[in-house]
Parts: sequence; C-alpha cells; structure tokens
Amino acid sequence: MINSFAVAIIVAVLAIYVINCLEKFVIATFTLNRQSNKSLKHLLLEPFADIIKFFTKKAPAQNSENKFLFIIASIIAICPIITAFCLVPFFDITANFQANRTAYVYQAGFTANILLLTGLIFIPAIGTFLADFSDKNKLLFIHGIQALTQTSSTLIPIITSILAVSYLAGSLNTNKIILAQSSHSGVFGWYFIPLIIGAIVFFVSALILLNGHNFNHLKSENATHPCFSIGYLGAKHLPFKACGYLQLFFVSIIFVSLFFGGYLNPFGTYVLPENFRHFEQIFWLLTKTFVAIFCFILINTTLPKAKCDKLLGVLYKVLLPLSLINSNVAILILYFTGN
Amino acid sequence: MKNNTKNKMTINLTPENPLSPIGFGLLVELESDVITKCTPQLGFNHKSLEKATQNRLFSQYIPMSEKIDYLSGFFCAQAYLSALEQLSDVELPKKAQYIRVLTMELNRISSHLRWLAAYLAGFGVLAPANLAYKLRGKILNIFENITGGRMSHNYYVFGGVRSDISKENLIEISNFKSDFNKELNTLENLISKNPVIIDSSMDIGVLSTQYALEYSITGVNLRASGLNLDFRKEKPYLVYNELKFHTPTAFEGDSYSRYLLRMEEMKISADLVKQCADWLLANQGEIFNLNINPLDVKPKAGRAVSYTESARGLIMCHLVTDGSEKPKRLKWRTPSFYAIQALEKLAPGHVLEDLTTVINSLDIIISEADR
Repeated sequence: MINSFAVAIIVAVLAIYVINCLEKFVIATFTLNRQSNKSLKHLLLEPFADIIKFFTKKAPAQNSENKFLFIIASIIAICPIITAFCLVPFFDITANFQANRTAYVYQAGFTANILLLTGLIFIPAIGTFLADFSDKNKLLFIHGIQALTQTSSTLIPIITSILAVSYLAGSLNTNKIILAQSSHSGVFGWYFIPLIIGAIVFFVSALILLNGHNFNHLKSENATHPCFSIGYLGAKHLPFKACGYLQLFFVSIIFVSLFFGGYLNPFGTYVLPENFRHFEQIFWLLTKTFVAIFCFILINTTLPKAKCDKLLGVLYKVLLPLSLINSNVAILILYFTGN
Repeated sequence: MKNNTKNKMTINLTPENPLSPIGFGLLVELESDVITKCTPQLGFNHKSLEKATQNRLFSQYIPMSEKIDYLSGFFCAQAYLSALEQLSDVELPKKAQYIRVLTMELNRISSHLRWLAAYLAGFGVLAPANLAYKLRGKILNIFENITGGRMSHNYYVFGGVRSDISKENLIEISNFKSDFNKELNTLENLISKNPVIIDSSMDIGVLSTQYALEYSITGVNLRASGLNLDFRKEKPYLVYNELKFHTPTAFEGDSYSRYLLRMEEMKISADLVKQCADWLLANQGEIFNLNINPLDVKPKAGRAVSYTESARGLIMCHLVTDGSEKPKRLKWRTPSFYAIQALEKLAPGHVLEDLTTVINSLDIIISEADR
C-alpha cells in the first residue's frame, strides 16, 4: 500500500507539473502576456523556480484563530484527492487483473467507484472552507462560505449527469462505463452523442467548479501569494495549489471517461498488439484528458468571472433541469433500444 | 421587538488587509451578504505634498506637482503653472499652449487606458486588459520621445514648455488617431457587448445627479449622472476654445455608463490630439515666453485659482503668495477625494462582490485623494 501511495504521489507531481506548464502557456498566449512564453526553457523551468520561492520565502507569523483547523485544512485538501489515482482506470484492468490485484479491487471490483471518485474531488472544497474559517479575517470567512456553496451546488448536476450515463452503461463502475462505450464504430459509440445535453451540463458545471473565485486578485497569479487564504504563505500554500490542479486533472478524466470513451481508441481498433495494448490505452486516456484540460483552462482564462449569485442561478435554474431532462433522454434510449 | 443582529457583520477593509482591493480604508457593515453602510477612511497615503510647497522654490515644485496624480501628471503641472502664470501676468505663446493641450489630451487617453485595464482585471478578463496596457505603451513611447520620461516628465516650465516637438514626432502623433481608433474598436467589440460584464456593471453603483452635486463630483462620474459639465467648455483655458469637440453625457449613472463615457472620451481626445498636431505642423512659434526667466520666479503677492479638467475631473489649484520666492500656501482640490466620499451613497444595497466594481468604475487614485 505504501508503494501504491508513493506511486500516486509521483504521478500526482508529474500531472501537476504538466498542467502548470500548460496553464502558463495558455494564459500567456491568450491573455497577450508573453512573460512565461519567452522561451520553452523559461516555460519548463519556471515551476521549479516557483517551488524554490515557495520554500525559501520567509512566511510571517501565523495569525489563525484556530490552529488545529489551520493545520488540518491543508491535510484534508490534499490527501483524499491523491488517493483518487487508485480509482482511475488508466487502462482495461479486467484484461490483466493478475498484474495488479490491488488496482483491480479498486477499479473493477468496486461497484460505485465513479461516485467515490467524484466525492474525492469535492473534499478539497471542505479543506479550503476550513482554511478560511480558521483565520480571524471576516472577509475570508465570507469567501469560504461562498466558495463552499458554489462548489457543493455544482455537485448536483454533475451527479445527475453521471447517473444518466450509468443508466446506459448499466453500472456505476468507471471501467464498465468505458467498456460499455466500446464498439467497432469508434467515436460514434461514445456517450457524448446520445447524451449531448449531459455532456454540456457536466462541462459547464465543471467550469463553475474550477472557476476562480471572485476574491481572486491579480496578486494571486504570483506563485507565492495564495489567492484565498492569507495565512498560508510560502510552502503552506502548496497543498491548496496542488489540489486545485489535481481537481482539474480528475474532473477532466471523469469527463472523458463518461462521455468520450476514456481509454478507448477513437478508430475502434487498436494498433499495438495485445501485450502492449495497455500502453496505447494510457496514451488515449491521457491525450483526451489533456485536450479537456486545455479546454477548461482556455475558457476559464478568457471568459470574465461571473458573480456567485449568477453562477448559482445558472446551476439551479438551468443546469439542474437540463440534467434531469438528460436522465429522461437516457431512459428513453434504453426503452427504445429494448435494453 | 428584538433586533436580529445575528446576520450583521462589520468588516474593516484597510490597506493592511491583504485581501483588500483598495488603497484606502473602508468600514463596511454587512447584513448577510448585502452592504448596509460604508464609511470611507482616508489618509493612508498622505505625503504632505501641500506642506512641501512651502519649503521649495516655485520652479522646484513643478516635478512634485506631477506626483499628486501620477497618471495625470501633465494636468497637475498645468493646474499649478496656470495659477502661477495668473499671479505673474505671464502669457503663454500660442505654440506652447497647443503643445500643452496635445500632451494633456494624450495623458487623458493614457490615464483612461490604465483605468480600463484595472477595471477589466476586476472582472477577470486579462486579454483586453493587456491590450489596453499595450495601447498605453505606445502613448508612453510618444511621451518618451517628447519629454524623455514615460510617467514623470518635468516638461512644463513657467511660461511655456521645456523643448519643442520634432517634425517626425508630430507626424507620428498626427497619424496616432487612426491606428488608435482601430485598436480601441477591437477592445470595445470584446468588452461592450459581453453579457457577463454588462450584467456585472449595469445598474451597479448608480449615482444620481443630486448626490453627485452634493458630493462635489466632477468629470466623467458627474457627466455619467446626466449633468454635462466640462470645464474645458465652461471655463475654457489654453486653446480649448479654438478646438472643435463635444462632451458626451449619459443619464443612467451606473458603472456601465461611466465605462462607455470614458471609451467615448478617449476617441474625442484622440481627435483633439490630431487637431493640435496638425496646427503645430502648419504653424511656427516660440515654446516659452522669452520675456521671463523660468528659473527665477517671484510672483507678486496675491492669490490665484486655476481650473483644469483632468482625466478624473476638476483639479483646482489655489495658490497664495506673499511676494517671496517660495509659495505661502498651496491648496489642491482633486476629484478622487470627493469620489471616495460618494461611496457612502453608492455602496449600500450592493453585495460585497460589487464593491470592487463600484470602486473601479469611479477611477480613484489614492495619491491625489490623500496628497
């Protein structure tokens, strides 16, 4: 188990590094700010410079009202989301379960692992709220409540979209959902075509979940100054920054797994022989995931940030009814296809 | 009857608070999410710029006057020198007047662009904000060619300006309007019809004409409330009475109309810049009054008041002299000081998120409010 956790941390760090570079590239290119894009070397080495800044910058004395919450908030933010790596089906584990029985247990054996995966993604919001709650600053407290309300409200349309997919797939297991989309027609067998409404609802809800909160000042783009919690300066801010990137990573993986076939080949047949098929499956999953990540970062960067009450209005008045309509569409498809 | 105070909260938004978006203090009382009372607190940026006058010669204070409002340095220098020139009965040559108007109008555009970038950054749209900075960079390059400095110029002297503008620079400035209007239209197309920005700024921070007059608001903030008062037309100074321009007005008084007015003002200023550049290309003259020594300034005892319509509103400079080589008293009337007070009326009724929009839409510079 320790080996699995160590592997998960290494993969998490790699994922965070790649997403960080991609984010800087997209922000610099699409906001006409060429600082990070001066050269490839500059872009690739800047995260290391940020890490050095995090660890060497002297943080002022902590001024929290509740020291226990101050410490535990960052642990709650980062630890559960790292364990989510065990639940992600990077390749078809059922074809080769002997290779890794532990992974098989969590990915194929666990019936409702998509719901657990989704739940793990939302736990960092509680950590962020506790971080804001532990500070004496009233403005942070208001921010914490708003952020938690906004985040938890995105859960409802997302879960409803997931349930609609599970009606078609016949399971809440991520691996089985992906395998249910496999067919010789490739792309046309994926669920984004019959459940286009659900895909849009999921995408927009995920955008709101990942949207920077309205207290995000320009200063927070500086790596060493946290956007929401002023008590977490320096290295203490790293868990929150990391969980933000991991949330983006896992939301994208869930999105492509539910609607775009996950690790399935878009052409319907695999190129590599069966012994090496899992490499091709990892390749397709990561490619689709990073395309989704690119779309999320691009839209978040270029669109203005809407107010919290407007976002909640969109969630409850537009996305939730659409997700219920999507569920009905899924049931109708089942009825007319005779399943 | 019990008073339910459970949902009430008081937040002290001072510059020490790292999350505070402003450089001045605001005591905000909230009931659940809505602001019920807002009390501005000034003085965090007080630098005794008025007292500093009394220890300096008249000509030594000119660079300091530009620091009152660092984004509108030319306007402050013009306000100060205008009062001084009134007391000394000095007349500026026509060419110097046209150069001053040209530089002031370019300064107005650069100040509005800086405001626009900060305003858009408040909504999270960074691409148009960076575009505005890029446009502003072109104007700062023009300033650098003319005066040697990008933000602090020390270009105006007692009786005129320090140096002439070369023909190449004048041609570049004359061609500035067409390129600028094209790029400003690109910016407008990105922002003006954006539903999120419209939703976040329309009917937010509505300032009626009555309150605007009560709080002595001037400039764009007043014109957006419905009163067309522009001191370039009311009390024309320099060569404004010879130039053709209009002053736009809006009636809604909200943040969106203040944004639209500033965009329109930039286009009008670009046209004024072209008119001045064309005149300077066609005419010759002196750039300062040859009958005076700009370094040896000793006006007669008396007092004078000057009016200058800057990017943010009316700047008045009240100068009192006693016949010596140093001023006896200098009092500035700056528009941001009054705009901050108006937050008392503008902020209540809005949620906390709208407070940044309201403050940004007023185009407040703390430096000129506190001096």
